[in-house]
Amino acid sequence: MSQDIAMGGQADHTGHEAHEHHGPPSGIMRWITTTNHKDIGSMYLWFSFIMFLVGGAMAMVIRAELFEPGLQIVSPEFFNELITLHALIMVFGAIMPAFVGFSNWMIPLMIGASDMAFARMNNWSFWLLPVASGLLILSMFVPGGAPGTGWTLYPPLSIQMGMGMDLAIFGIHLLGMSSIMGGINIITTILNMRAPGMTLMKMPMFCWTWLITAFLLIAAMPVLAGAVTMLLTDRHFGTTFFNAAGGGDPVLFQHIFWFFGHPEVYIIALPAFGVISQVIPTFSRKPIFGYASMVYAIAAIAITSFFVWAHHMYVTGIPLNGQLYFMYATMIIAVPTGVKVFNWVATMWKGSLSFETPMLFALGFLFLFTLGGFSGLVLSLTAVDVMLQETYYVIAHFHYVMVAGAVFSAYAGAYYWLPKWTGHMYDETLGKWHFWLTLFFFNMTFFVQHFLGLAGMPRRVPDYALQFAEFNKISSIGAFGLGISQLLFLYVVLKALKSGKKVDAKVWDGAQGLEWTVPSPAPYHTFETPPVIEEGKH
Amino acid sequence: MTAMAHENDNKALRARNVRTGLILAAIVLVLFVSFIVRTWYLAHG
Repeated sequence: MSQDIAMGGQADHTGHEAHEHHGPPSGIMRWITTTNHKDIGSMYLWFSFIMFLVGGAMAMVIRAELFEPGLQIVSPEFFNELITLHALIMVFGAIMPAFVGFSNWMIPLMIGASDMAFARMNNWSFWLLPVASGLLILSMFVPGGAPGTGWTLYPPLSIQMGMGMDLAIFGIHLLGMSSIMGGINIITTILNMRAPGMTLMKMPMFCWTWLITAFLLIAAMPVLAGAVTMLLTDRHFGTTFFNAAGGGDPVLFQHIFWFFGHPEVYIIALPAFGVISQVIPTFSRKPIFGYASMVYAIAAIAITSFFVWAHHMYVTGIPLNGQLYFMYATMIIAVPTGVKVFNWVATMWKGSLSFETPMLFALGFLFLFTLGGFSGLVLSLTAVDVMLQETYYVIAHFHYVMVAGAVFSAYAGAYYWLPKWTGHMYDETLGKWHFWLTLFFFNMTFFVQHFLGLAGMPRRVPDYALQFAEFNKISSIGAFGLGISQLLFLYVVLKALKSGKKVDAKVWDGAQGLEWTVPSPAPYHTFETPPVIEEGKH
Repeated sequence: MTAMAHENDNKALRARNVRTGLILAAIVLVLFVSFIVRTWYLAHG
């Protein structure tokens, strides 16, 4: 693991006066008991990649079933279970932990703190994750199978399903606890532990995005926890929150779920924006354009995200005025998002650009995430959404946001910081192959799904009419290519760890910030004495 | 900085961290409970 190698350079860094350095315990106990932010960051990142492969394997089965019309490989019930688990594992097990891993590794280094504020709680936040993911996967093997509801867990189906739903509910509870503890930890670390002289408006943009994301977590996760708790009591304790037979209202669940669900999109997207805001200035060799406006745009996106939830519910019978309000509110989010895209492009303008792998992934993000944003605007139009809802157009839209947005950004961050974590440079040629293969196969998989959706192919159904066959074949071949290409990333990382060229403290010549002042690999303990921040620098 | 001053600083920081953490945890708890209570009244009010 990267930290094993990172330990090689631990003794030689910054201001450690009276402290005698002690390394971590060895063997498995190091990883179980660790309170070190770098160890925990590494565990988050490895865990997220493993879950990415698990969720990806589920996607392969889904696409294999959809390779041609008819039912070939799995039963319709199991297909529904795969759809649910693919989404839950990718969102809560892969994407979120990846960015929490970045935050654990980089926030203390960026703000000059020695560790996270609550180091033991940090350990607990991580170790809840494998248990929660284990519960989700275990739900496939109990009578009745995993939830077949989709990740939205809508009643009445979620009230009627077997005990797999209970396991999923407990799993979601644990995932929520982990996220809430992580959020509390990040806010406290950033507010209380910045180095002297590091005012909030001097923080790297990645820290800003995480500070605001952590507040989103604090506000949104209790809502999800409440929603699934009410599902649980409806299922087993005789309440009727969402059961119409007892006077409850199933549509109420949708309101509550999406009051969490839409901010959740930005819980994923904002840290992705943060990574991109670090990468683009480095490879443009310019400071980020419009620092203050970037901060305000992030805050505006976060606040607005709580006022648009019912754009997921246009066809549930909400009043016309309500539909119009949610349509306009949704469109407004495009304004601060547009500010960010403009600023990223303006940062590159007249910059001294170079196109190493992190920059390629950042540019891929910029182009494709903007495309996903545009299809989101299309879906925000009530009249259009009535036709496109529950079709593959929606699938295409959110995969442009989640994969081309979050996953591309995660890769940009991983390639960008990997030399800092490990002390070794990755193979640039292989990294570029990884990018181009991912870009090609991603579009092959998902671009055609816009056409399928516009032609009316419904989502979450394992069979389809003959006229959709060609585009589905293309999409499935693209998905297999996309899946296999991701193994190349694993090879690139392992190769870098084993035989990558050694790197200096400042890996990229255009990089700015405290993290580039510590040696590579970053020592086990850093900034035990806070660094001095120069005037006027972000 | 002397070792004692350093330790006092650490203690003060820890107390401040715990205070911030508890405030945030209280917000979480209030949100969790209030959403359940409010939902009950919306469904049955």
